[in-house]
Amino acid sequence: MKRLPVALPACILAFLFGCEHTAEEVELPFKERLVVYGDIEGAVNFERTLPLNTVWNEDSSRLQDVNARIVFQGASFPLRLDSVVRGLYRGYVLPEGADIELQADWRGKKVTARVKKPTRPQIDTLWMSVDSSMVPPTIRCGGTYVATENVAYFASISVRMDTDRFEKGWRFLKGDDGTSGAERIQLAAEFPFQAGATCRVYMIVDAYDRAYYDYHLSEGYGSLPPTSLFSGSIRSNIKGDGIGIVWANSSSSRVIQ
Amino acid sequence: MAAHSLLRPLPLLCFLFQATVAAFSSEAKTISGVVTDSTTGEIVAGAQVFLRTTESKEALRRTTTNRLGFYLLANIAAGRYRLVARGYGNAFVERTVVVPDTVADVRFDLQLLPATYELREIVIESERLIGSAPLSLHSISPQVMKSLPSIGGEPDVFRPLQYLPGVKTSSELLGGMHVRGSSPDQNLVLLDGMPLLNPSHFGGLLGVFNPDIVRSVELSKGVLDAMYGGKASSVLNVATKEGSRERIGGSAGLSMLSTRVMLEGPLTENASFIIAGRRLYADLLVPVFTTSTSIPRYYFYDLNAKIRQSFSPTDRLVLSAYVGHDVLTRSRDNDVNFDIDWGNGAAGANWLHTFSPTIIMNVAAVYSKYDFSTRIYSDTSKGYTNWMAKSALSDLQLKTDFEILPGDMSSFKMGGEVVRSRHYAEALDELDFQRRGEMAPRTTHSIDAALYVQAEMQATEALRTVAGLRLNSFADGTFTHLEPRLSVSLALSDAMLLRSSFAIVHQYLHLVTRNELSLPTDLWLRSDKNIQPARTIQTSAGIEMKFFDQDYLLSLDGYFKSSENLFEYRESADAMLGVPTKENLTMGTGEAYGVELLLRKDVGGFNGWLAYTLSWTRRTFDELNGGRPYFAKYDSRHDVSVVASYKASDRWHLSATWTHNSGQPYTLPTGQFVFPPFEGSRYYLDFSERNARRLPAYHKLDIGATYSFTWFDLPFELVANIYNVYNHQNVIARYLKFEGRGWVSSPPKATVKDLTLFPFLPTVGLSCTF
Repeated sequence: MKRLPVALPACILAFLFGCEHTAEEVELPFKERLVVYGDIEGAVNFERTLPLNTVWNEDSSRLQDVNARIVFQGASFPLRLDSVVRGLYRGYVLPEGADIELQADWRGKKVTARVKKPTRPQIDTLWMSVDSSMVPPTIRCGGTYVATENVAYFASISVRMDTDRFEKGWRFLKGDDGTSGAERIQLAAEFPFQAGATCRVYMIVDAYDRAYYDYHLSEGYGSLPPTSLFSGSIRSNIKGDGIGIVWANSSSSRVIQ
Repeated sequence: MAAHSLLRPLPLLCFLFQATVAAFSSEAKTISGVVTDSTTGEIVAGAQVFLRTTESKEALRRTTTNRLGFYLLANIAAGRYRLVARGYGNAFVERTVVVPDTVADVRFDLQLLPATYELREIVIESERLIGSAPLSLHSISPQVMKSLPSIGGEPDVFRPLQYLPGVKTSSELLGGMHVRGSSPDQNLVLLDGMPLLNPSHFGGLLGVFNPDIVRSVELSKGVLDAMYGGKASSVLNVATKEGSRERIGGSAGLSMLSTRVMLEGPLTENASFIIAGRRLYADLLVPVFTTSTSIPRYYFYDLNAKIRQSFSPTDRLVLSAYVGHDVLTRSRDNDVNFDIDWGNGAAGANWLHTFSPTIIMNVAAVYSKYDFSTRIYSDTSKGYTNWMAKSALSDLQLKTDFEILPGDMSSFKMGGEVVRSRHYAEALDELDFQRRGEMAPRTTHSIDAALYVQAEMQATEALRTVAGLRLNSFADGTFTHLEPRLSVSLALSDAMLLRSSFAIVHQYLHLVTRNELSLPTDLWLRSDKNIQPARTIQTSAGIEMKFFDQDYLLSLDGYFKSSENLFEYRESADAMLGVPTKENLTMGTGEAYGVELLLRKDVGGFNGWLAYTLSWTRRTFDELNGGRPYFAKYDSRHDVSVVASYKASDRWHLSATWTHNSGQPYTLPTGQFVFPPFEGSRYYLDFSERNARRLPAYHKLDIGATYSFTWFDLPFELVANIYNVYNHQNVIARYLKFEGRGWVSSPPKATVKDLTLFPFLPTVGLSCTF
């Protein structure tokens, strides 16, 4: 469904003029590759691709014998296999602005990925008001943060009422292209306020590198099953014999009230 | 900035112009004139003009009429001669001309007559390859275009072109024209000098050119005339008729695809008009056969109009206009609905002034536009989608060309143009009421400009050169490039010629298509600080020879092209076709090389050609295919075409075409994975090898027959075609279809599918002239 705009004209064409046949003599190709997913500061998952028409399961897909490490400032630090979760390798906490390279090899297949940990986003202003004329009373709140060059931001406003947490007013966008300098981004939200509840309102901004933002855009568009004719995949920052996404993000949060 | 940088060489160009005029204003005797068609009074461009003595059939001099039908034979001694001219379709005339001692310039206009094959033999004896232009040109006459088999009985400009060596389409449909490994956006398509960005109706089904008004079709491959710029590969120059100066008349045609009508005639003694229209009526036929609203409705129309006015023997004005539109809709009664429309529009005024028989000026103002609008909306159990994109490009162009003819074998051209370009785009992509992408309406303007000079001369009896220089300024001077172009031919004998060419060209307008298919809604991007202009260096060399009494022509050409700053969608770019941001694109290089062979017979009742192309087209992008080179989607190793045409009698004309192309590359996923790798996630495909597999070879035979007859004193032609005579199931796309919802809980099951198009398909068409 989500690939509709791409595939539809071709479907129309096929419908108007074409005839579809099953090509039974064609073998499905297979090339085994690594699949990498994770926060380089937290946990990185290693799996392998499977032939088409093979059912995925954790035991057959997750890899326990990957030789993985990060290279930071010329030094190499091995990722440690988690003792509980299959295919999970623990990373390291890194300083803001760090340029990191992930290197991994498994049965002769090598992958690399370059990741930049963005600097912590700057939350600029915060504001809040309560509209008691509404039923129930409504909290209006918001704030601004500063977006800078080539960094993507996930910004959200959350409210915790007693033990429940709600999130609203979120957005995920890329910072400007650097031609006009920093940009102040506004975010606002409304929450119905429950009488008697204790309430805490936050603004949270996570900064990611550009590769993660690209992945976020492609996520969902390339998922199977496509409408039929053509299909895509995720946008990857893995080089070599693999596919996937690794990232490192920095986060800021401020209490509005 | 742009204007300033372009004006800098202007004094030099003015000096060159004045010096050239002075140099060529000598006392040599000349014969010049305009060649016209005797039946319609139209000028004839590209007609061959020969001068010979009254005693011999050997040509003393030879030249070709320019695009204004003008010819010039210079440095002629006083005497009595025979002047011979031949145009398209063997139209022919031979006259005696006397050049007296007392007159420097003899004006002698020629009117071509429909020729018999016996008359043509006189001309053939005079033809030589010496003096042939070194540029790689192919001309297709309307007669050839109409005589070849076609889809639905509707003649088409593009059908004959795709049988030429070095020219191919991506597939039966979905195909633009690929010339020597180029993408379709690298072809400059001109209709009476007006650029058309999208020269095809839906899926390349038919060209946008109404066959009833086409006067000539000329495809220039490789190194281009310096007057053309902004495109890296080829120029397709389609000229339309000007309208009869003799009487009101016209033609009408009815095929299984469309209906067309043309009307032409004189307006005044010095003015004529032509107007033509065509409409596809598939949308009207669908309700006849079914009441289902799920079948999309599609139609197109195109209209041409032209007025010619001669104010004096030295001044003429031509006004031309074209508008065409395609509309594809599906009713709102369905789950998935759409409204898609696109089209070209162009209008131009062209003033020709002849200062003297040797100096011609052409001033043109042209407005051209291409726009598309797509809206797709659905609300089903699977989700809500609302997707919209609009884009429009328009150019207002002012240009002036000077052509100086110092001799029948030489010419000097110079000119310039200023273009004001406008680009409008907006897009919206909503999924489940969430805006996945949005581009607010955006309009940009810029001024582009160019200057050029070109000299074509016969350096020696055997050596002919065309040297040109073009200076481009694009996007308000953001980019300024100088483009040298050189073509050389060396005649080894009357019947054998070597030729070679070299050029550097830049392209500023890019069509970005997905790897899988080309669509009319593909995005055009103008170069800016993020989208660098494409740069192509091309070289070619070849040999051409005539044999068997010069009835046959054999040519062999090799070419190599190297391009940089080519653009493709990035791997797994999001599907928002309407958002042409640089984030979706990646830049790379390309190369194309190959060998072309053409064996052609133009004369006699049985004629045609055989073409073979051996070629490679590769692309290399850091972000695609793991940085490894891959074959372009239109790469094809071996292409063979055979075209045969036979005039069996005055009533019957038979034709056949056969093509065989190596299978085109396509991509299949090389695996699948779940991402993120957790329960509850979805399956994705892994495309690690781009265009690594090949479709089966494509081949088919088409045949056609035309029967001419008279009914109610009107000449009629009944055309019958059989498309794909031996019903070969040509695969034009191979892809996967899936069962299952694609979640871990519902794994996908893939099946390989082939898409084939037209099977054995007999069609008929009827046309008449009045």
